[in-house]
Amino acid sequence: MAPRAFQPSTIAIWLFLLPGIVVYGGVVLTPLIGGFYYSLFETKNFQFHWAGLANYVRLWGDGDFWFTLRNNFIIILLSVIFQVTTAFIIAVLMNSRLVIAPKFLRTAIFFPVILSPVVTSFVWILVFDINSGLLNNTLEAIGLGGLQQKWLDDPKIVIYSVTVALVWQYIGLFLVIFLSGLSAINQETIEAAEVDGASTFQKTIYVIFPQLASTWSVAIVLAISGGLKIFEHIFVMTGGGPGLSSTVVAQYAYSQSFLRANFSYGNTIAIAIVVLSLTLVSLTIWAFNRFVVKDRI
Amino acid sequence: MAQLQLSEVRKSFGAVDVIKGVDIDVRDGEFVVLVGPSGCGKSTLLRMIAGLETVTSGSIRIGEREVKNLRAKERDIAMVFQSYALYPHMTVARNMGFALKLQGIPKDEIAKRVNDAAAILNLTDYLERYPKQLSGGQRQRVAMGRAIVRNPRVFLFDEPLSNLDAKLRVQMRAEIKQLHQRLGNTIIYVTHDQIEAMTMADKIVILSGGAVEQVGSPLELYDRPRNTFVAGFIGSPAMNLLEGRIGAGGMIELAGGGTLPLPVDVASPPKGGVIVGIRPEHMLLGGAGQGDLPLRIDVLEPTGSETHVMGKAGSVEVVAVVRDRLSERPGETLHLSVDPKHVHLFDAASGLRIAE
Amino acid sequence: MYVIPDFGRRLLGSAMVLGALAGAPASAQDVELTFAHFLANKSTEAPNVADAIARFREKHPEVELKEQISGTDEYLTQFNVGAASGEVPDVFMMNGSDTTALVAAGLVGAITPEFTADPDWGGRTPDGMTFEFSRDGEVYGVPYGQIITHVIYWNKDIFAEAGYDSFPATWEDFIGAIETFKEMGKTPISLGNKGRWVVVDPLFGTLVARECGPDFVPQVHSGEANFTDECHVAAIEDFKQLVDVGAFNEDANSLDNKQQRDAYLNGDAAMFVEGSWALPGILDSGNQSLIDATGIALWPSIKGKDENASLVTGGAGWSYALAARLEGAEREAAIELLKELSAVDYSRSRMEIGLLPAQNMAGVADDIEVQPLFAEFVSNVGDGTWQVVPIIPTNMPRSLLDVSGEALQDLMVGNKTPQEVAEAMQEDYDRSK
Repeated sequence: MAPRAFQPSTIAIWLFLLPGIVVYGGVVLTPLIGGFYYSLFETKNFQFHWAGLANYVRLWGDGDFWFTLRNNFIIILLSVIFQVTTAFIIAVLMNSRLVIAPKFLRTAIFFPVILSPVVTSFVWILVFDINSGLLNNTLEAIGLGGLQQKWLDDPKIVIYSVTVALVWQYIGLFLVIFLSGLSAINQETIEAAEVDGASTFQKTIYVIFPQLASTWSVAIVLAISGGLKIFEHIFVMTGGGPGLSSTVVAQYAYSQSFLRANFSYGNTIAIAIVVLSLTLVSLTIWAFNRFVVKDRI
Repeated sequence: MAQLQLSEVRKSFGAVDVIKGVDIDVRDGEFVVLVGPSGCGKSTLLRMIAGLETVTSGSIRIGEREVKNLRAKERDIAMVFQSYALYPHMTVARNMGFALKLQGIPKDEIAKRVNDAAAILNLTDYLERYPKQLSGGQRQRVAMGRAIVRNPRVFLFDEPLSNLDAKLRVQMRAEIKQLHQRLGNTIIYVTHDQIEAMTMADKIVILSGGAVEQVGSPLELYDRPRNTFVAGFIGSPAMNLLEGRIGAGGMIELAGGGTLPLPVDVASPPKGGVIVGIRPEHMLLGGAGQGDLPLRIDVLEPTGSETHVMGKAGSVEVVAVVRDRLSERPGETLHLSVDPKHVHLFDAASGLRIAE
Repeated sequence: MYVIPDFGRRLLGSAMVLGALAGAPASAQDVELTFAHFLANKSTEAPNVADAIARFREKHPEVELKEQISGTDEYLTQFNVGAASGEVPDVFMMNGSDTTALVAAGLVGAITPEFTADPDWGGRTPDGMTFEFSRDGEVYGVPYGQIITHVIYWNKDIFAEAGYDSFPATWEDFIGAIETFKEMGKTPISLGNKGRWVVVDPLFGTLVARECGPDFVPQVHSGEANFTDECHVAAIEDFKQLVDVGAFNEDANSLDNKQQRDAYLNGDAAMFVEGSWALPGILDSGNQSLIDATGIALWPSIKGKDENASLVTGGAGWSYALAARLEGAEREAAIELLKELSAVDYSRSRMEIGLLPAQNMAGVADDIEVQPLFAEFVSNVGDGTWQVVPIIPTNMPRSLLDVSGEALQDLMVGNKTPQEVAEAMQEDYDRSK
């Protein structure tokens, strides 16, 4: 039997849990439940009428919703490929003896993370400007004027342009995540691989990558959840345009709720984002546990 | 002829010199232990041999090849790390076969060599386990197995036993030595533990402050320490080092009181101050030897087979190990003497052994 | 022993006290009134509104007036959320597109009796100005000012350089001028449509009036007209023609309306199209030669429909309104505030900075010295040179502005045909009306 001194009363346990439950309940659960509740109504003239699952039926057939979701998936995919992977490679390089001034680099790469999305978006607007932007000017200067693009006005490339800004801003976040993951693995295993005859690439693939599997799953989960809730950058850079071409699902929910005064449908989209987010995150974690980390005790 | 030769090897981090010109020759199949207090540069030196640290100047040759500028993988060496550095995500078999896999050796060949090594190391039953499922000693053996399968020209061990408990350490010490006798590879072994050095080495290199103090076989170092550092470092309990000067009648008068005989074969006794070294186990009770060292007993530690006596000669701490069982009690004074052939004499100013 | 439950009880007690304090009524002799608006800080109208509020406070010391000021976007968000939960401020700004919804929800109060009874108030407000804020004969909002939502600001020097001594009188001539400007390396029409409304309202709305006639909005309300009607699709095609001939800068959809004006002010563009509210920005630019060179015009006559050639969209867009729940002294105070926000002094100060007032100013503003360009505005509107017809978005459900804006951007980049744009608008209208 456990000593009485270490066995607080049930009331005390619940009282100490109360602040957390109240905050979580108030900040997360209440809006979520409320959002779901309102998604079951139809909004018209600032009034709510019971509609059952009609909003979800509409959502299922709403091509605009699926199009904006497709944009989110493009962002997530490119984030995982270019943001997470690049951060991993930089982290590995900074952990090796190949990089000079790693502390300065780390700070420099992390710096954009602390900037407001609005600020970085304006910076990128200047980069992407058709006539006087850094990108088109540079292309012209190095004789690649033929590659100049209407970066934010061409519906075929605008989603990739805004993704560049996103990747640039948050690469430092993933870098720090990977650096902390790297600091937790035994450096001697990397040296052992070196002595065992592994090239830098082989060390990275066979020794560092598997030991960072759980860090990878964290990074990918963050990339997925971040990619699904992305909003400000695109809102500032393009307003979601031209047309729907750079609109993401969060902005679609926003415009339904606040620009089109259709709160119920906005809530329906928000609930769909939550469900999708939870599903994708769970799938990622499951896949990592099943296929990557399964053999580690 | 897998010979390892270090000539004038130096290493600096900025203005700080950590290895100050080291020369070591290792014969094929020799078991060489680099030993010294922490911070003496022994691990750095080993990592330089391994190719994990750059060499500031000097030359490192393995066989006929200058390897100073080669990468670790090109040096044909294997290394056992202090933390074992097993790959946590690989089974024992894959850990051991990793280097072979990187060399592109066929799978069945890898399996054969891994199984052979596992048999030598009693790891056959554990090949499909992960490192976390193994005990410390087993992990240690896997780390060695990883080195063995490659059959490299030189094995490097970096304090491989320091994470084991005392009993296991003694056992692994014997296993490593047996392994060396069986395989006959050249081994460079780093430790801070002089007992490991004494028990395992064919040749010991004593390092201090990034420089070699003395190179020799364990018994050479024990019998003829080149200076007071080596004298104090080798042997346990450590050698008593007492200040004194040569007095009249060919005896050494100790600064703390008492007299000791000159070593038998000192050709010309120096005029100035000396340091006399007597190993505790060479102290004799009463007048069995020559001289007279009065020792006021502080502590008596009977171990059964012998008795450790800790006390003070004047104000100097002195340790003696005697075969006899003593009836004296702390506070009483014991008179010790010594056989002249066991007296070491060092110059007080330079700390160097006075030539015989 | 059980200290914590006791502590918990006390915590609960103090929470109840706090709750009681929060709900305490204001002292009886004062009337408390909240006024939510977005006409502050950088807004051109800010001084007018601030002056009107100061005058109100001076005249009514018994009223404690609390302003709730926010940016336009935040205002919309906060107001929408409040309205959806049945809460509106005592006095607020009502957009024409919300009139139907707020009346249906019973949130906005009719001011008809006071408004029509007062010859200095309703009597001086032209009927057309309350069109957006009236339903079934009741008036719910006082227009905050008059706006013309389509004005072409054109640079006479650049036009002269291209061989045009006056603004082209026909659509064909106009298209020809655009092609000439392109050859000259000038942007024909500077456009900054990131916010989407610039195309919907200033550019497109008046094209609809030209194709469909002055009564399109009432006809849509009554069900006689649809967005998929031939004339409306034709208006979309007219706009597409402008896109296709390259009338706009290539980055039109990633710039905002301030940038479109800047390009014109820098002399890079021959024209830009915005509403009457853009005039102060030109007059304040300090570029006198450009101010002198600037003319104002409307789309030229399209397809020989000369009878529609003077039509231009306009109205108020926004109004000052009060909550339906107000009664007694609170309602009286709110009415007084609405009057102050449409009084002669308020309207005069609008004119002084180059903005049109909602009230008839004949006889009370003759002494104001106005810039020639603004005088042209006043006379065009006053003498019927410009025939003002209702703005489309502010007379339609809220969602139509965003849906049209998105669809017209899609049209500009070739993602939608004119027919598809029309269908998207009609679909939204059917869902939201």
